[in-house]
Amino acid sequence: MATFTGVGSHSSLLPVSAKPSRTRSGHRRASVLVRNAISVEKKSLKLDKSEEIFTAAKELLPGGVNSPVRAFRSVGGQPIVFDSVKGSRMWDVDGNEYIDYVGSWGPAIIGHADDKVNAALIETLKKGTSFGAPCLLENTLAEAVIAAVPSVEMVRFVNSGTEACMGALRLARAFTSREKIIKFEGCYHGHADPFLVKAGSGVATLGLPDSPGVPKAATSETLTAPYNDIDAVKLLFKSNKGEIAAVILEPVVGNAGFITPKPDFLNALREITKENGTLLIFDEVMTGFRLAYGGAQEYFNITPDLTTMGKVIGGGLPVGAYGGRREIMEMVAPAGPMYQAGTLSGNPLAMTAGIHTLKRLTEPGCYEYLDNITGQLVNGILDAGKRTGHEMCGGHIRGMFGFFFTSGPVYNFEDAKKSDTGKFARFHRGMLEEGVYFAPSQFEAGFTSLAHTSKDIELTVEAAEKVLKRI
Amino acid sequence: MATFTGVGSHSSLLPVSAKPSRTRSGHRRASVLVRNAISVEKKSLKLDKSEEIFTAAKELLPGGVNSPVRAFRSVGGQPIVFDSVKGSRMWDVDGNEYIDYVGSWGPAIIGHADDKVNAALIETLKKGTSFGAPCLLENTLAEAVIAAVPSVEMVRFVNSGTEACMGALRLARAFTSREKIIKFEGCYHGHADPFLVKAGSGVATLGLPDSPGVPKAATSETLTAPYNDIDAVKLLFESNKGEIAAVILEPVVGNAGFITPKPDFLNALREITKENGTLLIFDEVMTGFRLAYGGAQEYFNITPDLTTMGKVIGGGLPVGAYGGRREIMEMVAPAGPMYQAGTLSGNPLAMTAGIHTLKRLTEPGCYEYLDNITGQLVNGILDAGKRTGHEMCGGHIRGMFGFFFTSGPVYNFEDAKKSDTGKFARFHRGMLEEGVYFAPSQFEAGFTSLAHTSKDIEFTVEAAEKVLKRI
Repeated sequence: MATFTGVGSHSSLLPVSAKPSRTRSGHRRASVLVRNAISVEKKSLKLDKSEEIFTAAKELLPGGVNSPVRAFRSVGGQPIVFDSVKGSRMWDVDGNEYIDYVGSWGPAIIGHADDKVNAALIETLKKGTSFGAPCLLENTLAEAVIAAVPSVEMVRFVNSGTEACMGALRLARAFTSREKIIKFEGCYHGHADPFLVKAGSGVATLGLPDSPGVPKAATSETLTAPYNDIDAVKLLFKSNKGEIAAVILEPVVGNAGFITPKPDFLNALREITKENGTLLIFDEVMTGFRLAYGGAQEYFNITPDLTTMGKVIGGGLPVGAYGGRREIMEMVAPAGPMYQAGTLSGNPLAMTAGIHTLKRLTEPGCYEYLDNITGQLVNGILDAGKRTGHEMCGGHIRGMFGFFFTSGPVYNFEDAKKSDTGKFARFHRGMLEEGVYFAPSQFEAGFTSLAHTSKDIELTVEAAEKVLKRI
Repeated sequence: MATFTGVGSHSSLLPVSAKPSRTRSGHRRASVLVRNAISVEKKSLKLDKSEEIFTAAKELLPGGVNSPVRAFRSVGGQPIVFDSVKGSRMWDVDGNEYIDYVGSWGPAIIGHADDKVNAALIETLKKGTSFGAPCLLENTLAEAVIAAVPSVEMVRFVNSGTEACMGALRLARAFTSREKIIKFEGCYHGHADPFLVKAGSGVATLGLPDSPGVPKAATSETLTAPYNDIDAVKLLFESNKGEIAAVILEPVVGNAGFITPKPDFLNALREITKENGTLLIFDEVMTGFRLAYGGAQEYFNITPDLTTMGKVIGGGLPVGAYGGRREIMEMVAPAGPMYQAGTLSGNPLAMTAGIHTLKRLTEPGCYEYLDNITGQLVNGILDAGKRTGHEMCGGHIRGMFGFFFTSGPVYNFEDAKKSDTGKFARFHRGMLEEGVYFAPSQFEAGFTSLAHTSKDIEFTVEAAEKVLKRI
């Protein structure tokens, strides 16, 4: 919870401790006192140590971060430097505690720093974190992924979602002997050159049109269409007959905020790609093992040709993967001629994290639970929005959710951009002060975990109503 | 050491144990007996469990591996599946022990599974392996890297060498507003499309010309020259005046086997790039923190504009980095407009591994030690080669080495390709049977660590002589 330092913004340097000493109920009583005393005055959030560390970081790392969206540039305010995480909680370096709805952008689906995963990691690291050579654990995680994900008969592990999408793209081009690809506006598939066209995530967050340093030749084969617009896709197939290697999409968008596919969209894509000998690639880096154990493809019952994975599959360590039909995957070196390699790919430590994370997710009730609490969360926030007179829309599927400050509906990136990002920024900051951590960007989905409790959800919804009243 | 199962190739399934029960001296006595009995008959290496696991792997992963060179395709024989590593040693799933000269392809420079690093990892993982947000440890490793590497004033952490080189390339193109790059034949800079031209490492190992799935447009801006050929570089600058964004190279090649730069080569590159407003990029993914604490640039006293790093910097976890002059690095989002992102970039666990690995390397005497034992190793092998009538050449710099089965000298990839790869394969297999693990490819450098002892080196040289006698 936000540390309560007193009325107004008196800031004294409290010692940094991992967990705040104040109890949650004590905090709530104190905050009620403050609110009664000062009506809509917001609580001050002490972030002195965050400021100190982040200021130092700006001299060392571009923008002070190793990934753009962490710099809070679209929401403003002091970026928060974290000290530790556990379950559904995060603690920053000033000792503030937050309920976390970023979950490290997806990996933390069973909760941060899970005890069983950690115990397995400790056992494994004693035997070595990396061999640069085959190990049994690669087979174990591969079997789990292949058993889980309908389209995947064979899989290649890599070190990130970016590497997975790069590999899948090269493979699709090699398999079809074609070069053009279709992606959707606002979708993000990692930062390989061909994907930096109308990309979501940080590109959208920072309002970048395209990135400098990407040659036109690298993106000239990348065709784009608005998400959910099957007619636009049909037009592209007409004017590029026999030339399209693949259609790639997030089956549920997370990188432009949370956007679900229209009822027939995925099916229509499956049909048109089949008719044209084009591969359908589901980028399940966010949705994989989160919408269902078998991902979006299981949830919607549509089987693509290739699937990319990441985040959850690494259980908090860097892992990506691409997989699909055996005949396609067997083009990948050394089975076939399509080159892709990685020194740390399949390392035993990352495999261990993935194996134990997936194991937890096979326990009955996981996805029902996620559906339940996430529904409570989103509906709670949207109801609060209604009651406080804000135009909002949003939704969830199992453990993935989002909301926009616009009346909606939001079917694509253009719709998403109608959101009042200034208001989102104020909401974001207000929630931080209430001890709730959402993604510092309107154009990112939210994530829950098995460690989030009903109490967490209640607190969050209460806090949302407080904040929505005053922004 | 290779498990001695008896005369001939009687194979019984021994229980898998992490460490073999036989002592090294007992092994040697027994092997002398066998040799006297059967003269040049090689010992059988029992790899039943490796075979079983690898056969299963081929159904799950393309070629049975997550990185091509692990499949042993250029050396033949059963690829080995490992169970654990420690210090300078590896143990496979059949219980065979090996002295390791691959070191997971570079990361293991202080020895596998270092106790201090492991202790730090255990402390860190309890606090969470990934936040998706800033943490202090990013600053700590950044400071260490910036202090160590002459060209680096600012750094961005990523998840692999491939990502680092992709980032550096995009940055160089953004900074110079040019698109063409010069790389050298046989050098390998990860598998981003523009680099898959006359690439080393697995591409060279598998004899692939270029990879299918890489559009011509992606590589048309990639100019190549033979390594060590400054005249070829000058010609390229003449015919592409004002168009070259960067020259990228391994300052000491490791990915085509071990090839050192001629005395004036790096200096000449530094001059011609400066004259032409072109950035000089040192790919120190292999050489960084290995040739010297400040890498090849410190060793040769040549300062590039950008540097890519990996392997050692992650201490056995997936980490890459690119860094350089502040004015260049500040083009990187969110400080500037050049996009590059990563969910797991800078995660606390990977940072911990890097920090403690680098800390160990700052202790006095490390690089002298590596120089010493690696010199003994290579000179010992080359002497053995002379005595047994093989044409060989090779060398080392500190903890990096290589040897070729050709008289040499080897100045570039064409020279390297003169190596008798069939003989290398026989040597590789013979050494495995002696309990020594070299990279399963002629076109990869070798790596030593602080954990390799003089005894390890002596044993290796003896084994090399044995093997060289009979191949």
